[in-house]
Amino acid sequence: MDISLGGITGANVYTRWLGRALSWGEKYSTFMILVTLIVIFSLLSPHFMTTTNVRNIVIRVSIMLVVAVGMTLVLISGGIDLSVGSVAVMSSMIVGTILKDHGISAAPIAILAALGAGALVGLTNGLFIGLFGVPPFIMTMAMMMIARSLAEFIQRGVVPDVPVEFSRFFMTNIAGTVPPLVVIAAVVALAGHLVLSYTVFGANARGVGANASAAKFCAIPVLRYRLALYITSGMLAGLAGIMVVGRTNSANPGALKNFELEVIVGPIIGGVSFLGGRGTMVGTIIGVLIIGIIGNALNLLGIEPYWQMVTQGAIILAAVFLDYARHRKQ
Amino acid sequence: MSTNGPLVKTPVIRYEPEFITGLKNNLPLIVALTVCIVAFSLMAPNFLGAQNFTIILRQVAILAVLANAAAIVLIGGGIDLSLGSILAFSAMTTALTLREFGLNGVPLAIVVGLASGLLAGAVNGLIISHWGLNPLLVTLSTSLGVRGFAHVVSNGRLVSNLPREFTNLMAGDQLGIPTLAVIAGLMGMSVHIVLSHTVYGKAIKGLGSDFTAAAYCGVPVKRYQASTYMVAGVLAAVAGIMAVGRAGSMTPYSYTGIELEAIAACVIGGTLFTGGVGSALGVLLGTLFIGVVRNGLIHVGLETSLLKLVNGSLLVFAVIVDRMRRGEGLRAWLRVVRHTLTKGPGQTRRRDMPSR
Repeated sequence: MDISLGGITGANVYTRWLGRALSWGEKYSTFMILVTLIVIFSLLSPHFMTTTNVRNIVIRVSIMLVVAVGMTLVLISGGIDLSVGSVAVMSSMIVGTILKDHGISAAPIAILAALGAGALVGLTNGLFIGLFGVPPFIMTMAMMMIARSLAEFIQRGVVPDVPVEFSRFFMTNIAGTVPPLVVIAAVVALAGHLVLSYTVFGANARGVGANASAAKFCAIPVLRYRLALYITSGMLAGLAGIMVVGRTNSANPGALKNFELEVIVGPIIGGVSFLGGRGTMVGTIIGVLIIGIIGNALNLLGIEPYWQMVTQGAIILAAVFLDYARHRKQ
Repeated sequence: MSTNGPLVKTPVIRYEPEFITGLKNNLPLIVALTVCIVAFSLMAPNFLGAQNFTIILRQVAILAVLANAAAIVLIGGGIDLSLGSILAFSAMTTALTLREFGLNGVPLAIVVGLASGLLAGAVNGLIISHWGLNPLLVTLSTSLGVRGFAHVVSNGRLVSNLPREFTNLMAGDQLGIPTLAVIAGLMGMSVHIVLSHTVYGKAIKGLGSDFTAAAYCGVPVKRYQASTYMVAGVLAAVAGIMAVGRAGSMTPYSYTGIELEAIAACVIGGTLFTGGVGSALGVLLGTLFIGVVRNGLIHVGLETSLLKLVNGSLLVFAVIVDRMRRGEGLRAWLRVVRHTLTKGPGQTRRRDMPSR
């Protein structure tokens, strides 16, 4: 938790101003990185600032953001969830298959089934991590394999014939500008921000991440918090799967490879720590925007997919360094 | 004067060969392996037989070498998720050199492959030991980077047209045993000797069980920590060369996710996640266990899309076994349940409670 101790008494006025400037710079550093990237990419590519491209970026980012909100909560509580990409794919396969077989009238059931499957995966993760003490990284990585395997088990290939009405509902602009997909993401992000910053639940989740045994002594039911957070993360991943079907009008068991990494790196760039206890939802939004913009720009500039993979690795490494540097200072 | 002998009993130190101790330590695993073999033989008629056993050996050999690599890093207190990518990268460089120089280039190709493994391992080791960053995240990101380079060196295409003599030798038999299994056996033996009979092995175990204590004992901890990743990189490169020889061609995206199987094999074989404990014999048995389960399930008629599910479940199972060995997690909860049933709720002593 960020606890400000106020200005240092006795320091001369110049040092104080320097300190203030530095702390201001640190506070808004991610935002400045975002602005710089936007300026650089608009100069490099004439297609970057067009309406179509901005719309593409916003839609791509909103799917990432929905998952990143859950990931932020899990990271702040000291865990990690690598299964989100596979869970999203699994839920998109569920939605796609149900809609294809039973038509658009089955949409509510399909959505409930997808969310329920996500919650079930989250519950399993939480139980094994909280109750049996399996390390979160390993548990969710195993769950990543299991969920992907289940997605392939539901159907080996792409489900193409999802009713058009479903996609039309998600992608038709409200008031001529904003697709409902983006509205959903905004609502989820706002709710996440409110929960994290203004409720006892959020504060306690932070406490669990900062020091689990201290939280236990403060009578916070640590196990129940872990369960709730992993279930939230699983359900939001399920929601992202539904949004993917809404966006592409199809479901693909091989989609969203390495999605979980993008979704983890976004919050980390935005100031959430791998070690738990730190971070804000606003930082997460900015971090996810940065990742989305970099991914889009690499495509626009015609970088080959192999080099994109290398770049992704380098970005994660940079995020780990950033986290390390921030943490060491305190 | 009494003739009853000395008052203080000197403890009798009985010499026991390391091999026997290893078998004793892995007794539960040996029992589980036997049970699996018996069950699969009853369910699938084609399972038990010399031919299928050779097939299992062939399937498992590459995993066994990679599991040895994973074990060295785990014993040194780290974890390496980039092993699959290092395997693919060094396999690509080996295959490209072989295609370029033909049969005369075999020694060069092997050197190139091993060097690429060493290089990738050195990057991991230096970043982790120098800055003390979290090995999970560092090796996760280098796994992307190294896999990307495997694509870059080959332009993302399949490399084939390798010298026949090389691939025939690697995919063939030596005295009735697959060459791959022979190589895996040799690698396992050398890892066993290094871990159990050298100062280096002892130092690594010390490093894994207590970093600070090892540093106070004069172990050059950072250098040794980096060296575990380098040794793992070289072993992964050996696995990569074996993979090239086995298939006769190589694609940059093959062997994705094999590092998790390797880690699962280690943990099933008694290597602790927390570091400091592990043996080459256990790793071998763990690998055989995974190989037998996968082969047996296919014989029984499992869908291939569910194989990944089996891998994931085995990994979780391995970690739970690991926690139970240390008397935490599941076993502690079972204790609470037993006490609640027999003595009533709230009757579990504090030191018997689960730690989390």
